Amino acid sequence: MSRAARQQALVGYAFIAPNFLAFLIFVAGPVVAGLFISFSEWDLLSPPKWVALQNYVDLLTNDRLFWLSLGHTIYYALLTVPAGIVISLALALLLNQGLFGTRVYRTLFFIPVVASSIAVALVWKWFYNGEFGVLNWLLSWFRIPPQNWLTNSQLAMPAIALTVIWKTMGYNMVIFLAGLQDVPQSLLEAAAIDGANSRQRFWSVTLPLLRPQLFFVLVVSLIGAFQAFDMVYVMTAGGPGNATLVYNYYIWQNAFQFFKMGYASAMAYILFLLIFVITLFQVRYLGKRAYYELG
Amino acid sequence: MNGLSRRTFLKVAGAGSVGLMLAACAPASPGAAPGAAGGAAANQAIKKLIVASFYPVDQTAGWAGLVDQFVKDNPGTTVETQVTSFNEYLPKLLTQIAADTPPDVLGVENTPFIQFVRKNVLLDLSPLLQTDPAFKATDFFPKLIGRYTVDGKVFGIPYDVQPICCLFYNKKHFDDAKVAYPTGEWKWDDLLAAAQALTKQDGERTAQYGFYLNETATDRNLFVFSNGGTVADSEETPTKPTFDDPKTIEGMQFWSDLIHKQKVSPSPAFFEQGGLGGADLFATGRLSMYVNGYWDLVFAPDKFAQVPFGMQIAPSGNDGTRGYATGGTAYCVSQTTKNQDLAWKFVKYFMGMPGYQAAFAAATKGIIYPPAYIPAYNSEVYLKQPNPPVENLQINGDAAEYAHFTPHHERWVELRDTVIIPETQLIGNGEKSVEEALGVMQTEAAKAFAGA
Repeated sequence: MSRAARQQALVGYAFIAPNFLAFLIFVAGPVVAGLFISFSEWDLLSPPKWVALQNYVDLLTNDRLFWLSLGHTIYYALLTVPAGIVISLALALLLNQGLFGTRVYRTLFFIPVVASSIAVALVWKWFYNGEFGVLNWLLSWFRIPPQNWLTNSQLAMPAIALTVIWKTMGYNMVIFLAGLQDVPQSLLEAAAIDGANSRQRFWSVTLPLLRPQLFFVLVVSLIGAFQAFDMVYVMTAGGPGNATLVYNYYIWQNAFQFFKMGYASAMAYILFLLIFVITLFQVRYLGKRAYYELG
Repeated sequence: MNGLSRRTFLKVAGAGSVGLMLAACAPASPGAAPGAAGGAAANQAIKKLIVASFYPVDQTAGWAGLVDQFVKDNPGTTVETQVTSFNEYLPKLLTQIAADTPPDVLGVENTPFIQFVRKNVLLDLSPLLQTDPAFKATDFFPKLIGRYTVDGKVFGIPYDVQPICCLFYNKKHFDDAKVAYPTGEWKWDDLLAAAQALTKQDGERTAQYGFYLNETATDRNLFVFSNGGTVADSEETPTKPTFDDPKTIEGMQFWSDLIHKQKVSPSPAFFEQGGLGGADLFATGRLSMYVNGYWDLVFAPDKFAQVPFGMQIAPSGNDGTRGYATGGTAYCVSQTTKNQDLAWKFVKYFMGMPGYQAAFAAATKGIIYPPAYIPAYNSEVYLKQPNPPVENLQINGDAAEYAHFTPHHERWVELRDTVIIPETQLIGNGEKSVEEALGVMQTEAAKAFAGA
């Protein structure tokens, strides 16, 4: 490497240094520290005590809320991910028709994505209010009795899921829309000439060509679902009766309410492993198929 | 181009960024005081006290005036108040302690208090309390200072006396229904009879509820304690839970029946969906009576101004038993403070008469918390406020004798959040029977007590 190139490289390193240092200090450092903390008992008031695998053993064998929160998280993922994908894809298809006002609708559907989660949660909390809520008012038109959406243990999780789908559908919609605009018109025309109706064109041409976008949205949505926290925190705080206690909320409780830092770190690492395995599975078995078409 | 070349400029800028970031991460100079522009000599002369609290430093609580007065009375002192919202307070405080930079004076809520003592975070204040005849342990309500006394040593000075004992009632509702106002002799049956007379239906909708209990969790429920019920065999040194105590079950059943059987009380679910509390429904004239602590009035006197209201001590059980749950905070001194004398001086000032007077003088809403320091409680500062006056202000102190704290168990916070509150919610929304929910509480609490 010439002297000039070395100097050029040094300048480059100097530029990435602030960001890289911040990454080391605020991301990589805590992640590595978290692994060590997960093998300790630490309440912040006294020095950490090494307990080896005890936190992991306690979690897996002796904590009913660990399994409960994991089950709730899977339930939440099942409610939000498939429905979220179907709805956002349907919206993208509608907006891809080039109808009048498409741009306005596209913007409107995207607004919830940029809105603050807390503000969205608070507004939806009012929608769901059993006494004054808009939703019960709408139901009353159909003579359906008012429901306690967020304080009934059967309804609370679906209610949160609906809010999350509404909040995130705009993001997925934009990705699908980008994918739809990449579908070659010539293929659709060829299919039409061959006698395919619009439904057949969608299933046999459009959808297969949307695999990369579907794969991306699926991976990102699943990771997001396993990290659910803010909506639960604001809308139900895990209630009623722990019915919406999701995994991340339980981590937060252990860390910042019960001050079991080691225990919470162990939970975080188990979550990391879970997400890692699920994502690996998706990449292995769905990723290849997703990108095969592109090749 | 004259002067710096582009390359030199980029190098300098890059290095400068790194330097700035490292400087930002470096700890502040220990002697630095905000706004102090003087040299090292000036800094040395100024003693800085860091006070941490989750109580708002605003004009309602009068904190700002209190701190200003202390600084004025103690030249060469600065006080930095670190106020954090209740939910964020403990995480921040514990992080400071873990980083070995605890505040000098810290507010500690009564439930996690025992952990702070056991982990040697707090200074034993007993010797200091014996040095000033105007500020001694007996100047505080015994049950309150007792909460912060461990193995005969006082580790915290109680701030306020606010058991959940205030029965707020709408006088107009009582007049309209021709029901006599509540008295200090009221028992459960009197409460129920009045609530039934005051509840109004409008078709399927309840237009006016007779009664609401704000704090419902079993370990803080009025009807548990006023029935002689318990949640553990001892509040100070609990060894086993007692959620299966028949009196506890009976008390919770009475509360549940008010909602589901007599239908004179809204379910807590009514409020939980909108972030409202009893005071909101009371202010809109849809609730005739509700029980909560005096703080509802202190923080939102404007809400109460919307209705002609009275205040009375919450009823006793039918056999005359009194019992009121209480929370509360103590102000403590860190064991590692370098300003022990000044920290103690601040605690004495803050918890004592001068601080109370200064706080009230700055409290723009004309109302202030009932102090745990008896001379201040008995003073005109407390008993002559607010304006317009509120009847029966003395009930806060009267109820202190019957106050119940949550048991001093290291895992109680966890038990509350993961079992007691969730199971009480299921009683409140009618999804579980009282016996079933308390059965779960007993089983899970027994596991926690056994260290499982």
